[in-house]
Amino acid sequence: MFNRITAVREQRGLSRQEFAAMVGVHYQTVGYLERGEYSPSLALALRISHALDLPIEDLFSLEPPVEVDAAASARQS
Amino acid sequence: MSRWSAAAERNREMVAGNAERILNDTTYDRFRTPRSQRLLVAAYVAVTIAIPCCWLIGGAIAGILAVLVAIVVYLLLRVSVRSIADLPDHVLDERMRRERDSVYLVSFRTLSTVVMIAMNIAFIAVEFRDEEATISFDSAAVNAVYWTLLAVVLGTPSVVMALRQAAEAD
Repeated sequence: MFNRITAVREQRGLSRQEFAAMVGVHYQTVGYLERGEYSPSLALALRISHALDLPIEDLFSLEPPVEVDAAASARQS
Repeated sequence: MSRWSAAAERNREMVAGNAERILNDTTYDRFRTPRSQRLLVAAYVAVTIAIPCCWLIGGAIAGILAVLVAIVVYLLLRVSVRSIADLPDHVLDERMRRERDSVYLVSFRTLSTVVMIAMNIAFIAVEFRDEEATISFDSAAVNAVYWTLLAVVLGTPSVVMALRQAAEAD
C-alpha cells in the first residue's frame, strides 16, 4: 500500500512528533508508515485522514500516489 | 470506586508514565544501533551458555557471577528494544502491539523447539544409560537448570526483537 503522509505532513509544517501526538501513535510508527513498512489498520488510517483533514483515498492507495492538485483536478473533471 | 480498583488505576497510570518515558528515551540510543543490538544478543547468548557451565564446573561463586552478568546484559537488551516485548497493550500503539505479538510467536516456536531437542537428548541419554550424560540433582545442578531456563525464557522475546530491529535498520 502507498501513502502520501510525508508530503502532506511536511506541507503542513508538522514534525513527526507533532503528527504522532495528533493521531495517537509513537513517532517511530510515523516513520514506519511514511516508509511504507507498516500498513495501518482502518481505524488508524481514518484517524490520519481526520488529522490531516483529507479524504482517506487522497492519502492511501494501492497504486503509487499522484500529486494533490492532479487528484483534485481528476475529481473535479 | 473500591480500594482495589483505585490501586489498579494508580498502577495503570504509573505503568503508562514509565512506558512513556521508556518509549521516548534517547539517552541510551547508543545501545539501539544494529551493531549494538547484535553485540548485546551475542553477549546474552554467550552468558546464557556460560551460566550452567559456571555452576557445574566453577561452583557457586562463579555461578552467581554469571547470573549477575546475565542480569546486566538482559537489562541492556531490554533498553535496546525499549522494553516493547514486556509492555502491556494499553501503552503500545497498534504497530508496536503487532510487533510484540509477532515476536512472542517466534519466541514460542524457538523455545518449544529448544525444549523438544533437550527432551529428546535427555530421553536418548537415559534410554541408552549413558552414565556420562546424566547429572545428579545436587544444588549446583538445580541452580544451573533453574537460572539457565530463567535466562532463556525471559530473554528470548527481547533477543528476537533486537535481531528483527537490527535487520530492519540495515
